[in-house]
Amino acid sequence: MQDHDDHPHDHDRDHSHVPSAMALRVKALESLLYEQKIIDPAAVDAALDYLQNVAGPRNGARMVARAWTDSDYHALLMADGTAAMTEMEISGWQGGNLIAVENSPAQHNLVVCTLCSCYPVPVLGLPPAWYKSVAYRARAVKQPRAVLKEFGVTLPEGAAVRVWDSTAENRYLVVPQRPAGTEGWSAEALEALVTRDSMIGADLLPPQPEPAP
Amino acid sequence: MTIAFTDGPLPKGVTDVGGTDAGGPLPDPAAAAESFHYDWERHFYALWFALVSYSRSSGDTRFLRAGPGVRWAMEQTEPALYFAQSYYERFLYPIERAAVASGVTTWEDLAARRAQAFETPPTRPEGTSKHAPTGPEMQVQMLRNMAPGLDDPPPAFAPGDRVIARGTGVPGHTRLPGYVRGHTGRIVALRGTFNQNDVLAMEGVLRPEAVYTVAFDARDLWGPDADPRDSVTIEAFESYLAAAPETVDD
Repeated sequence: MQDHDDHPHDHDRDHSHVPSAMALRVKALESLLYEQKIIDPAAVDAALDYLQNVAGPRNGARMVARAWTDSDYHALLMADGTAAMTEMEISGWQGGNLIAVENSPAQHNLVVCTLCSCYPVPVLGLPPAWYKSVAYRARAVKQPRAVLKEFGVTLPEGAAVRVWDSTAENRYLVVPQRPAGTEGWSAEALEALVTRDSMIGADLLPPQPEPAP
Repeated sequence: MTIAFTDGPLPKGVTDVGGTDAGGPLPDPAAAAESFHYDWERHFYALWFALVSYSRSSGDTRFLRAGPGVRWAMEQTEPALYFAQSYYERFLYPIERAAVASGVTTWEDLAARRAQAFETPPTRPEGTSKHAPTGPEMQVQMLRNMAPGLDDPPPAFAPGDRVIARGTGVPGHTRLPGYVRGHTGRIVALRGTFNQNDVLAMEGVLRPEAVYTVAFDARDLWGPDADPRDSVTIEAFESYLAAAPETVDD
């Protein structure tokens, strides 16, 4: 796999003693901003804490699992994704709308941001490198079926594909189809099945063998 | 101000890659599953977060212009550089350029700072900075620029309406992807009111406009190789759209 977003795998890990040019450039900017009292280090710490400990795909998985098991919540999620986040006390740091779109036998949804990398960070965490890649941004809108096939996704027969090109104002969460064989499962058990990539539309959730756990 | 429509071809920004062959082979989702390869990327992202909220709360545009200005700044990067840069470098470089252009620093000063040992942490000055947003304050700042306005203008379109995607006459930045320009689609939903990105980035003007999700048939966009069942949606400011006549076979 060659993704030009990758760095060459040289010596840039946190345990390395050989910092990359990029790490030094970031530190140079940071030192400038601190010295001129433009940014307070505590603000950077707070942002790091949010990104590492608060935002993440478990939030999206909780919302999906609850929508599968609670029809009132499902209605709220489909009508107003932002309100559905608030209802579960999931905080959104990037503003705009969260819009949920539902997969069905008739329609498969795929999300991209062709112009940059807009993504529902509060509910999915930071976007994976493949989502941010120029190749995905270029091809997902034009050849979604070929992209999904390369990703190993087999679409249901007869499904239409809709690709949602997101922006900063409107970010999308795909609600995957609930896997077969999960009748009677608790929301907690269902959460564990929901993958991050399935909530972008790049993955399908496999059926579960009976009985319920 | 009036936003003039344009029907002619507009030069596409370097970031407008939808529907092109840019980028080479598709990454493998399993191999490229993480957002960060290196600690500095995560650190830079947090620094960028703090810098964006600082810029919005203070009005200081020496590093970033208002609102979507960071995206405008990235679009100014020379294409050869843009495609060679790693993801986070695409954010870092425009900030460095802006800081040098506004006189906050020089390339020589940045080079001297880079020459310092990595193990030496950045100095933290005595006392807090003038602008030291807390976590909740940053959240408010991040939301503020995008939250719908109170005086929403009445929307021109409704779900089901046929519309043509055109351009705006604001040179230098647009959030309308080139692949839909000139095509006809249907309004899927009204998504609220937001500050129009093009004029905000280029002129610092707050102009609330309705934003719509608009769906286009894949065959219309890409030709007969596309699946006739498929569609693509975009998010469009009202100023990107014009009413399209209904056709007889609708």
